[in-house]
Amino acid sequence: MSLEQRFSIEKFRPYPDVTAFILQNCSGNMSLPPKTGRLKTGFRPVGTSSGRQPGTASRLATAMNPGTAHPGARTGTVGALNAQLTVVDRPTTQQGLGTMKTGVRGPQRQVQDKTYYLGVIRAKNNELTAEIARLKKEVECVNEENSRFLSYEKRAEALAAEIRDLQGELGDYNTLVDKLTTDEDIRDVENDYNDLKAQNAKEIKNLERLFEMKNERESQIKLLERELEQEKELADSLINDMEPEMKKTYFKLKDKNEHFLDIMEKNQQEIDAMNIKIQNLEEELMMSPTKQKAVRLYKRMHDLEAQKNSLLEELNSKESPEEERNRLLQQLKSDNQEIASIERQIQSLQNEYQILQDEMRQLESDIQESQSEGYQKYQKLKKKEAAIDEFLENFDQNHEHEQTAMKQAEVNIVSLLGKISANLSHSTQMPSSEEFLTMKQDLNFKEDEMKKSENTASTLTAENKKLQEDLQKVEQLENKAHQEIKLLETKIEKMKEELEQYQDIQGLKQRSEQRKEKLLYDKEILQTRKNYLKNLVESIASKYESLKAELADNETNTQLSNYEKKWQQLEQNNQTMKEYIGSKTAECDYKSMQKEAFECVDAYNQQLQMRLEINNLLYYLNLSLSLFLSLPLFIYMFVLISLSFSLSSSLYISFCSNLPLYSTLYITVLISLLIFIYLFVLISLSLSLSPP
Amino acid sequence: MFKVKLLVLGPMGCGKTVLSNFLSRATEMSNISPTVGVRILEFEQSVDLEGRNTSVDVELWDCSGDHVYESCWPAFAQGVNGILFVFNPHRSNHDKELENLFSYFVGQSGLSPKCCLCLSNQLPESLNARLTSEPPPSFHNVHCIESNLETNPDAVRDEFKLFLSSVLVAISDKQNQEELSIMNRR
Repeated sequence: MSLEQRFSIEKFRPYPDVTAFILQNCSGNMSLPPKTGRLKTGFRPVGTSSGRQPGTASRLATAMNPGTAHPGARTGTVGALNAQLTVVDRPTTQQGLGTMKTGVRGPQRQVQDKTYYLGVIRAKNNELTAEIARLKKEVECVNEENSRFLSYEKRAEALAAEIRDLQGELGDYNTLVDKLTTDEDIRDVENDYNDLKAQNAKEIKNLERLFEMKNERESQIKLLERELEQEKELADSLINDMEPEMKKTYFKLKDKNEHFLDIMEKNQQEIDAMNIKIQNLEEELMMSPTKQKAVRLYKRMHDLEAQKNSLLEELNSKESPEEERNRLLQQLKSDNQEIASIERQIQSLQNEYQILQDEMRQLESDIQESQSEGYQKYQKLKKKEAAIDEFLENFDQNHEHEQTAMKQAEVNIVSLLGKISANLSHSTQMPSSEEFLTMKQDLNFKEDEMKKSENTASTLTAENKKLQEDLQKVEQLENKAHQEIKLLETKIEKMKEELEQYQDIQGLKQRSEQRKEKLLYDKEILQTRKNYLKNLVESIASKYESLKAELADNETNTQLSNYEKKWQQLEQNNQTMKEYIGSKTAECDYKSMQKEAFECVDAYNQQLQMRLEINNLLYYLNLSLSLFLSLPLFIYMFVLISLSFSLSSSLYISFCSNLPLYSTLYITVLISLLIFIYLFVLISLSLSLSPP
Repeated sequence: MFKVKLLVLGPMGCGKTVLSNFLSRATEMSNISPTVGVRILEFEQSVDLEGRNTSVDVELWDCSGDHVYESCWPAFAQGVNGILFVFNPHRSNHDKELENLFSYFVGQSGLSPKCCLCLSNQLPESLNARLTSEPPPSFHNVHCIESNLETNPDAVRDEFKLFLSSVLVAISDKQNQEELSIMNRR
């Protein structure tokens, strides 16, 4: 298939398929030249065959090699990858597998000497040089194609874009054509257009909004970054503020952390590299079945080696070979002995078995014999013998047993005999059966009699009870009767008296007549009085009625009655108010409180008075004490003052009046006394007048 | 077939048990202890009765001679058909005891002397001793024999047979009499 053809196929594909197209193009690229199948295989042998080529003898081996599965499998895989090639490249493969022809040609010449090989080598060399040249050309070609391919790619992209545009246009036109074919109005189209426009606008708005949002997000991110920086600064400041030791440790830890991180990264990288390597190797492995086989073999070898090692270890751990040999020899000997003993046992057992079989045969014959009579007799006798033996064996026991039984029986016999004889002696005195019968009848009869008499006794007791009850009743009746008799007697007396009265019938009649008359008279009088009173009542009633009517007519009366009603109401109100006041006063009765307060005040006053009195007393006491203490001083002072005063005065008087000196002395004494008394009185007065 | 109850009475240790065993053909016991109470031996005995040979069921009561069992005597005496009195003639006190037994069993039950047999049993250990006692005077009606199981056991058996036949005769006579009395009453 040509590239142009492929393009024609891919022309109407959408853009996403371009990559696939390229891939296919790549695969197609290989198929483009007629020798591409060789190209693939040609690359591989470059590495392998270049090493082998100088070798002459190996060349023969390679010549044979194509027959093996190795290249065949290779080509097979290539064929599987792009099956399209198989048909087209048939001639090339024929050409490529020239070795086959050499293989075929080989046997044509019988003598393969030096010259032949030289010729062959030369021919091959020529071929190889030609091949190398061809390959170089091919490489150039491929490079050119590669560069061309890039340009093609670009062109393809451009064309794809163009195609898309054109397709869009075509779609539009197609819709237009549809619309036209369906005879739609242009307005509808316009409407659609408008709708789409509106939608577009909306979409634009949406987009703008999204853009705004994005901006916001960015600003937020910026903010966050700033915050992060701040935080970092904070952290730095914190670190700076830290104590030196802490700082040191912190930095140490930080360094460590970094170091670890580095190590981790390195390790990760290593791991990745290793993984990649592993993958590569695995891929490589997958590619070559020989290597897989080798891996398998290696694995097996490892296993086997491990096994070997373990075995060796085992060997080393055990004794030396000589010891082992000895041991094994010993074991062998013991085993041999055992085997011999077992064989001996087997022999003995076989012998036994034979003996037993003989015995069995004998027994069988015996059984046949036993069916005869003699044997039966023999058996009977044997049984008897056994029984006798048993008897003899158990004789002593049985004897003792029987003896004891006998003794018991004897005792029993004696007791029974005693009983029997006693009963016999009784039986002589016993009556005969007839007598017994009669006696029995007698007994029955007597029992009946007794029952009857018992019945009678019970009935009699019941009757007795009844009768006693009756007696009691009768006694009660008697009492009643006595009372009645008394009553009747009194009645009789009364009656007798009355009889005496009623004997005079005439007198009685007269009296009744008189009484009747009198009563009739009274009746008449009362009748008249009744009539009179009736008249009176009527007249008064009429009067009352008239007065009532008058009163009803009177206005003052009605007013009065109204006032009365009002008064009553007011009275009631008054009452209720009084009650209310009473309740209120009762509610706010402060008298008890007042009383308490007064009492409290009184008590307080009394206490105050007491305190005062006590204070006074203390004051007096103090004063008196002070006076008492200061009294001699006072007296002394008084005496001095009085003396001085009196002396001066007396001196003055004596001087004035020329009195004798003794008189002056006398006067002075007198004056001093007077002053003393005066002062004393004054002090005492002042003391008495001082406040309580 | 007749059924006869016979008593073997006598003082202690005069050989009643041995005699009873012999008569009943029971196995001989080597050491015989004093009988406690009574041993009842049942056996069949063929007897010539009025020329005919009949077998009799004999119930032989081998009674103890000990006076301890005197309380059992009424049982022994009940329905007895014949008594064999045995005594050792070499013991002096045996006649008195025999008298005592005779008065009790024969005197009270009214058994005829024909139905009694007195055996003066000579024991082997006192074979050559002097006879010290004889049957007491109350036995004058009773048939008395001397027995020695060692020297002459067949004679004893013959005597026993004869005694049995006489007892049977007495029984049959008694029966006849009873029948007759019943008949006469009617």
